[in-house]
Amino acid sequence: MTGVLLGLLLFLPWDAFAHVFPDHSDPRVGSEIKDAPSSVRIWFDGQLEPIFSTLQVFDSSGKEVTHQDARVNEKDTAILEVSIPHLPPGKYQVNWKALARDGHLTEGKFYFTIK
Amino acid sequence: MKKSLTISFLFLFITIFGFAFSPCSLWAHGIVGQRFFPATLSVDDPFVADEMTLLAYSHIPNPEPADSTHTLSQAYHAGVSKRLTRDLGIELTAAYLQDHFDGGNIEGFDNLAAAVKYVMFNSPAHEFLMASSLDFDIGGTGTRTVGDPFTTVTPNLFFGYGLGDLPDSLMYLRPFAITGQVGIGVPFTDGSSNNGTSDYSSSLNYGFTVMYSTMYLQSFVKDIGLPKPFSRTIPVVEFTFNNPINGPNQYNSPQSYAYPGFLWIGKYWELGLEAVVPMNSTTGSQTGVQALVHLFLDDLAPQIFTRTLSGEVLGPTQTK
Repeated sequence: MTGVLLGLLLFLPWDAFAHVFPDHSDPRVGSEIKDAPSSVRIWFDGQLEPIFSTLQVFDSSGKEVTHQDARVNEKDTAILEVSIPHLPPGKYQVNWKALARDGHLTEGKFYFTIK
Repeated sequence: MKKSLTISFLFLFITIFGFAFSPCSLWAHGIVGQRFFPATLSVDDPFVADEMTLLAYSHIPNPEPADSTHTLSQAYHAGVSKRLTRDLGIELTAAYLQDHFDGGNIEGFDNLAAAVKYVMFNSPAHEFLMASSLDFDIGGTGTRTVGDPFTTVTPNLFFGYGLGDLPDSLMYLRPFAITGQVGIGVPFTDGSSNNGTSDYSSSLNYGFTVMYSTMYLQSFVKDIGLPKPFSRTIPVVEFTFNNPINGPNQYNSPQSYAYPGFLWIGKYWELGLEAVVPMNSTTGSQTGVQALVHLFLDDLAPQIFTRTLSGEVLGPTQTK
């Protein structure tokens, strides 16, 4: 039984979880960066439904600092992105909601810091 | 495996699979806030869910230190659960047990177990929820030499809590989560229906789990660049305690086990592997192993398993 399980772990395709979760992001979760980014992008582990997927960025005072053009990338529907103006140094909070194509909704938040 | 056992398992699988797709686990998974709680192998978690345990296997050598002839205990569990509403669900579990003795083996199906579970409270902001359940071990439904002739009813309370609201100074502790369960098993017998081997003691059963979610770390705390499969692997330790509180085993020590291991979360399923570590003289000194193959039915067949019996769309296994 143990061997079977280990075999499955080794040879299973690393498919996305049906409740979509972030795979990685730019800026990276919890990162400290020197240069202010022009956008925030999150790569999810499954395709997103554009209508109900949202992405917001807030500064330390709670003010939203995006261009309010959050969207699912047309070429890669696993990417949620939003444009942001040139931001001053500080800590920023990213809030996201992602609706998977099969109807599963997930949400979360993370921070990045501009030095 | 003997042909008869194979046929029995095939029958069991068909029965349970049929139940899964009829309008109606003791293992559950779910999401509250941004916290995903996996199904754990020994301690049930607070969620109601649409899911199926394809197989949960345990292998425990010398399970009764007081009886040196009892060399090995093996159990094969399968179960299915279905939400009736967002907060109410039912579960059905079956098990095939094999107890090996120096003088021969005792094996057969244990009694069917059924449960009704209700999520009483949840707080997505604090990644916390509580639930209760009423479990029934249905007397006489198993093999006569294995299953008790009487029914045991167990009311349970559950909780789950993710540490996501810890301050920044403790941010690397945020991926930790704990779940717990406590229940009292009440056998519906005065001992007169005892078949000579059944334990008809009432018992206080409780347990808890401590887990560290690498998924949570990567997605919500700090992306440290963990590669797959480690980015979807959850180290976990479970603890269970079973205390007889009356009946013939009233003064026995509690049965206590620890279960350190790992859970891997995939797209449609979850795999688990844990050691079974005895924690006192009642449970002996030899370490066993247990494993889990678990399916997320609401992900495999969302058109079926995200709806109530009346067709209302439930959405995924997630609290609101």
